[in-house]
Amino acid sequence: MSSGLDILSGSLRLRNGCGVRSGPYTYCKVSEVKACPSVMSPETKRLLPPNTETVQTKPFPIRGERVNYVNSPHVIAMVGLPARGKTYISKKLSRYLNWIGINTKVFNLGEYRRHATTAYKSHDFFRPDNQQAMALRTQCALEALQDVIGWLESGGEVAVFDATNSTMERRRMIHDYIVSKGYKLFFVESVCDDPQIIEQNIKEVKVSSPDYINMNKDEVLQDFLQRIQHYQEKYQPLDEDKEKDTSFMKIYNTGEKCLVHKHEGHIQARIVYYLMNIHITPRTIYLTRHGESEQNLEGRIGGDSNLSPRGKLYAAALAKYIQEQHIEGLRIWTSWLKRTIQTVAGLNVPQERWKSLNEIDAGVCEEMTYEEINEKYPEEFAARDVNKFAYRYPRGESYEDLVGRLEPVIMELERQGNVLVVSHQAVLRCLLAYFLDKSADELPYLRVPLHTIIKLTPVAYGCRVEHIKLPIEAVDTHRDKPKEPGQIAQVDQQIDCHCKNDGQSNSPNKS
Amino acid sequence: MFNDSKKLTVILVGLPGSGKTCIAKKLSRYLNWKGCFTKIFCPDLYLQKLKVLESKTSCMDGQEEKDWNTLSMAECLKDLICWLKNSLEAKVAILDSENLLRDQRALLKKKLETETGSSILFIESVCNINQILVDGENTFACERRVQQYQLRYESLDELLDPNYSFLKLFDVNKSIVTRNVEGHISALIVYFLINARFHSRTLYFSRHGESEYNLQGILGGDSDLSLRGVEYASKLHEYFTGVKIENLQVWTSPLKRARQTAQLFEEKAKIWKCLEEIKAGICEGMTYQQISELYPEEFRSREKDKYNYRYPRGESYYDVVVRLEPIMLELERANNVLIIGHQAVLRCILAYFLGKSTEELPFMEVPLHSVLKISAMADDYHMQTLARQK
Repeated sequence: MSSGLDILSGSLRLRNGCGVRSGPYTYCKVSEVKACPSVMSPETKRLLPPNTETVQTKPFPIRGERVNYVNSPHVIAMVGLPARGKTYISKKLSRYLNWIGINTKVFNLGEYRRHATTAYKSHDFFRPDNQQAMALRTQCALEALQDVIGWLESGGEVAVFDATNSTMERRRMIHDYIVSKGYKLFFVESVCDDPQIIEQNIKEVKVSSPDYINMNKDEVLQDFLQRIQHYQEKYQPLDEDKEKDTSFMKIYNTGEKCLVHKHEGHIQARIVYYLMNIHITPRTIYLTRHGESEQNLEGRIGGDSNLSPRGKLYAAALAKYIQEQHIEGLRIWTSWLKRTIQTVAGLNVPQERWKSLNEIDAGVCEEMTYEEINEKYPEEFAARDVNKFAYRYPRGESYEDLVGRLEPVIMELERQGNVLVVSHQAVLRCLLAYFLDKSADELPYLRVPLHTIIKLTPVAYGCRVEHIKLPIEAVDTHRDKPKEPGQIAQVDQQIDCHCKNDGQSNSPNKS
Repeated sequence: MFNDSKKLTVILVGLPGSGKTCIAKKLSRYLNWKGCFTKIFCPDLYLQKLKVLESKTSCMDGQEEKDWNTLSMAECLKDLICWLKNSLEAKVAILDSENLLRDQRALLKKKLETETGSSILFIESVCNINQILVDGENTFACERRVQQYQLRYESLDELLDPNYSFLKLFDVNKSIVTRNVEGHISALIVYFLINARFHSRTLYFSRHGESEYNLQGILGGDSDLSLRGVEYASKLHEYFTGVKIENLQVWTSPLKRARQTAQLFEEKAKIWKCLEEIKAGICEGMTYQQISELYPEEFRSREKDKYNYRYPRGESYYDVVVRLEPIMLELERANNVLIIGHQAVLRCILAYFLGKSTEELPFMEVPLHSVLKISAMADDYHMQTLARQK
């Protein structure tokens, strides 16, 4: 049975009659041909006979193969009066789409306006009869749309146009511009008539806007309410009859009611589902790894071992901490591996087990130490360092696969209130990357130390992060990106001081 | 996954012929497949039973009809409440009847909430053209009845029904309005209905050709095709080029035996990692004989509950169902697709279309070297075995 490991031994086992020519191999360096397929250049990869290692697909679009799943680029245009949560939705949506692998960017018209003129003194700028300002604003809109097109043409898949777009005329202009270039357009309108929510929005994000640097809170509130007033005079909400050829979605009062009109395509359905599941009720998400396990102590990755004595201490300390917090309606999610289940055995809170929260499957490298992997599969070891996000363990998974299987977890997390997630290093890195908007390059190197609770509180447009290290020592399983791929010794010295105090040498363990 | 969800009663609203039964069946099939036990309750079927009992075949008039309708509705509700309340695993009950009047709905809602403790979700299907779903079995949609109903129809309205949780589907897919939709299952229902399609289409399924491991009776692994398997691959290609299907798509798994079977279709083949065979963990590469000798307890537990049994370090049928979710939603929208997969995976996919229970799923017959064709009419799927070759 031939497997990808044949490539590592330097020879390429070619199957008979599968149509691969040996001629073109002369175009690429032999050393590259010997490298791991996951990180070869596309030209070289195309020449290889396909096998389980070179096939990198996940059901939803992946980087580099998006042409199969995203047939034409999309523009999502927001609609709504100021302080209706448009920017909040734009940023959140963009964060979600980027995380699942769809290249998305937000274009905020307010920023264009601020860039074009520093003339903002008061709400009068937005008066409908202010001709000069109007011309300027229209000019900004055109510039932003040009940038949107530029982004889509250079490989972007979804562009979110974050502006009020509150008149039919403006929307028609956008529609003609975008559709004429062959892209798809989807409007998302946020309608809100609850004055409390509006005031809350203003206080949370507008007060700190660059427009209001020199004003105090109450002045800001008044000025902004006047601003909204100007828009309201000309506001034309999306109309099912008059704009019946456009695809759109209307969200009323943060999800109380939704209307979806003429959606087309998989991405739009996905966006609708996502937007229907998010809420703005305050809550906290706690993330933690299992307590130190026996395999952690030996420096082995993967497996299904029990907690070490220190791990059990952590379980007790965690139970105490959680009880002291008096978290309302807390739910606990664990994986199906023993070490996470044991970590929360002492907590009398409803628990749910998710197979998707299981640690990354290291395939043939399961239960080996780094030294062993380096000895047995040196090229695999080096290849992983070159592109840790896309690298897939032979017969195992990659971080990219993890993101695919964690997507339902994220969707459910969005719907829930207070949750404590007890899982593993690689999985938590993926979850953190979603909440903190980290790129695929940063994701595999995020720090998730043992015996530490990461507390996430959604605030304004992002998340506040707190690390709460419980006073129980543990080994350090983090491995920074080495200067040379394949280097075993941990070069970085700036380890979190609380992890260093355990007196053990910093053996590079699971990463 | 649904253990903590509150029970749900879905009440359909709409004129006869607006597609309610279709929606009910599709929804029930999807939810059951995901592990959320769902059952449809249709008062019209009770009416039919009554009619047969009393030997009445023609449409009835006025009072008599009203009485019989009330009687059959009462019977139906009794069964619904009994099932939802008493059965431990029951999660969603779907009431498939017109429910056109506001008072009617208010009474229903109150009764169901108090007696079953479930939450209520209304799904209204508004169709401008009543002939969209001409259901051959729908003998109750006689002209007269429809016209009468249309006069008294009171659509769901957010102002008049402020605390109701509802979904309105316009022309089935064109527009959807949701209001006060809360809860995991309700959100899932909305997502599914947004993606669901109701037109007729055809899907083809086949296992990979016979592999070397098949010959030796070995589980899992990643072996090549045997000689007979290679022959099957070419016959398969021949068959499909002969039948000349428009825009045929071929989906396959990354494992060698599947890809080699799809090889002749070349560029058309799309590879989905989630179509991989069920992972047998520590039992990969062994025969059933070896497993029963080395791990007799595992072997026995598998026989007891084949659907939920998870191979150590591997997967269960339930896990496969979970990982097939994205492809199922794609299949809902697709037409003329040939899927070249593996036994366990195909069992899961076919169980969805044919509405097989979790007990039947792991024993479904998916023989090597045959092509199964699923034709989807509005609300039902019919399976035919096409080519069959040893």
